Amino acid sequence: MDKLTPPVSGSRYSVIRAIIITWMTLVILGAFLLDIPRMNILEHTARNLYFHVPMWFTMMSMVLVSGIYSARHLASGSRITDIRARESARVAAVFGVMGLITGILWAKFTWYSGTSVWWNSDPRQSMAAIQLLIYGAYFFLRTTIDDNEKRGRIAAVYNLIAAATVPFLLYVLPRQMESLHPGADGNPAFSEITAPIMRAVFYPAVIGFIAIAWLLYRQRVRVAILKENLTSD
Amino acid sequence: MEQDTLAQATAYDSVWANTNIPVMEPSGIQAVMLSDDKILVVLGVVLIIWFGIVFFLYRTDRKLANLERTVE
Amino acid sequence: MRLHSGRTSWLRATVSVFLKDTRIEWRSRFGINLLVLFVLSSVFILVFALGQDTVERNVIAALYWIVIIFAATSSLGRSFISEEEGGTVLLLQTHVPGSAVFAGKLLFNLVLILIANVLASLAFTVFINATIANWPIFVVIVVLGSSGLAGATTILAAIIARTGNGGSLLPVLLLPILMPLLLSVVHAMIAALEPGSSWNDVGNDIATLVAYAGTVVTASVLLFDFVWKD
Repeated sequence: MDKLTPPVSGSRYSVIRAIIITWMTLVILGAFLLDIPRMNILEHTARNLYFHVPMWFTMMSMVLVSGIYSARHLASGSRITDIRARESARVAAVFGVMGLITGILWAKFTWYSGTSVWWNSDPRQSMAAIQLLIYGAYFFLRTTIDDNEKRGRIAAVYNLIAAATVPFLLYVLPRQMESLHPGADGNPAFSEITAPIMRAVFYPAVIGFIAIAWLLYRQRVRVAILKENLTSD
Repeated sequence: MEQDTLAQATAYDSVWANTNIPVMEPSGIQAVMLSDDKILVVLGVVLIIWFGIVFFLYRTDRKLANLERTVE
Repeated sequence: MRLHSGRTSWLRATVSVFLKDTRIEWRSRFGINLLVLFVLSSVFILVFALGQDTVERNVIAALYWIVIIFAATSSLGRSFISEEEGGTVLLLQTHVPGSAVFAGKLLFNLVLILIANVLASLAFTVFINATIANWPIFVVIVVLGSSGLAGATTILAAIIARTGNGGSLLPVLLLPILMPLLLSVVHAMIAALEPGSSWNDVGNDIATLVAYAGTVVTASVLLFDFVWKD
């Protein structure tokens, strides 16, 4: 088998990495130091907007990357696309778990303070949970197939079938469940409750977290390529 | 029936008029988390994300260590 | 090496795969017996678990579809494994276009799920005292829900036939994918159990079910060859 070429890892990469780390440091400083308008129930936890919400954005962007690489794997059959689909799914799952746990913690000490509610079947919460179940099944499926080439192909098919059904949840869930999230029926839209100063931190935070996910993903891809090249001889 | 409820409502009204409804004082972890305008909740969320990223880095590191052992 | 080409022969291939499965089923009656026993025993478990209280409509609707979905996972998971075990895969691969194999299996599975629905609706009426108030709605959502369920189950049955340890994998793969179907079909089912409900109550659900079945079947037909061919 021919060697896979790792992604180029030169000085340009170290510059990008330095920029991402500086960017994220500034975002965290801004998140804690900038004054925000006071809101009932939320109080300072409104700052969680900068941390909890980008988890969801990051997960969905990695899900998208994973779906694209699964499609490309079926089209080309090259090993590298399978590795990329697998590793982006893994990063998406990590960010999904972090989004769920941070959401539970946030709601527990604001809206559900003093109650025994941990899980309320919020549409977005449910969707993230279902996406995690799908990735659980995806990785489990991968462990049951021994042949490398077949494993990539079958897993890609499952990933794409799942990707075709998940968007339905965007339509179905909000109709049948109550939501705490802005924009859902009755709740104020995102732009109404968010002061301009918060948006100035929020959007950079989304970009920063996606960039961090990209760093983690790229690391995993490099490790995976190294492993493939070492074990295939 | 309707008047019954009305009468009860006024009676309760005078009783509850000057009381905040959730009278139970938050205790234990609740009290800690709700102090200082709930800033500690934000700290918790940031820590969860921090540990999530660290956990992922740790896993990647272990994969690398395994590879290094294969090379030797 | 395709013997069939053109649309009529594709249809003929589909029908012949369907008839082949039906004939095998007719001889052994394994799938049907499994289905009957599964539906009956799960309904009896429900009877004992629920006790003698009247059960709310939304609970009945949820339980009904859970029984149907698990009946499907337990009896349809074998549809491709049986070809693998019987050594007939190569024969089908060389003589019949992949999409026709998929369509034939899909038809057969759809028939099995519809039979399971007939059984379950009878058993729910008799043993759990569920009254189906609105028959037209019930029939429409059963047909649409079963089509989506059959589509998802058939492609996943093909997937698990290629893995090391067969049938036990199916529920894990299937359930997260079925979530949108389950939500809308249960919602519509509550309307079908409610006296005086109208088509307006289930319009959104029916649209979702049609779109879901269409999407899953289209995606499955497009992707089936990657699973089926080596």
